[in-house]
Amino acid sequence: MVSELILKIPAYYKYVKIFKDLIEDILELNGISKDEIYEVKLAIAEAAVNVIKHSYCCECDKEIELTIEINEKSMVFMMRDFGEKVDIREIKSRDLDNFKENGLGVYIIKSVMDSVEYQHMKKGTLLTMSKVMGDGSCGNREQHRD
Amino acid sequence: MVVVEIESNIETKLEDGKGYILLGETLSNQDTRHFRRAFENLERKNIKEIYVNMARVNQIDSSGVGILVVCLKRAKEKGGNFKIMFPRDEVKRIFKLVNIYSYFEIIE
Repeated sequence: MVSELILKIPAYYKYVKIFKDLIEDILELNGISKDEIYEVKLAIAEAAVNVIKHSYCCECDKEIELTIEINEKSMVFMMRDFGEKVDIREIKSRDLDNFKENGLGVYIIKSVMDSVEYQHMKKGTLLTMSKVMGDGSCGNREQHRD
Repeated sequence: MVVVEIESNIETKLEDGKGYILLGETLSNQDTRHFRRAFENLERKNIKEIYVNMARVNQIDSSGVGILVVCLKRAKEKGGNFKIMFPRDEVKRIFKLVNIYSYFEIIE
């Protein structure tokens, strides 16, 4: 089981659902568990919404490109945008004790993925998220209080 | 007296001095503006008991979670109550994921 797929959507919120639906189908075809599919869909949607909000500053015709690599042991999702470079140092996981309405998306992404890395490209940013298959503990997960 | 207002996929109802916000299938980035308006309408009417009926919600994202927590805080600061009714598993799951399940009083 080794696959690589590239999906592209224009940067509109309504198209984020297309990412989610396609990812669900792709992961199901690759025998990924329902729990993992739920978590991946959540992370991908949060990442895409962040691209529209922060890299492109609003909905527009520019592209969000998602490359998916699946092998026996892990899934890697690379989300590429071609917008403004976001200061990577400013991309932080939410401190729930100082809860604010925005910014929870990165917390969710880091909670469900095993590794999350932002990289500036010549134009835009590349976000690489990976998840080890069937790893209930997920090494990079945030500490949960309860 | 029962007063019902509908905006987007959000319905607000006033009954016996209590405020009910009935959500549609989603509470996401694009719904939060309408939710805030519904909540603020109840706030302006000095409603202290607010119930959010989430029975129909099958998709919620970080923005949806964020607006719920903000409204919960605001209600509590004013000595009120903000309760979540009938959340589906999808909603409970994200509440647990971001460690806010215990913030809310949940009516099953």
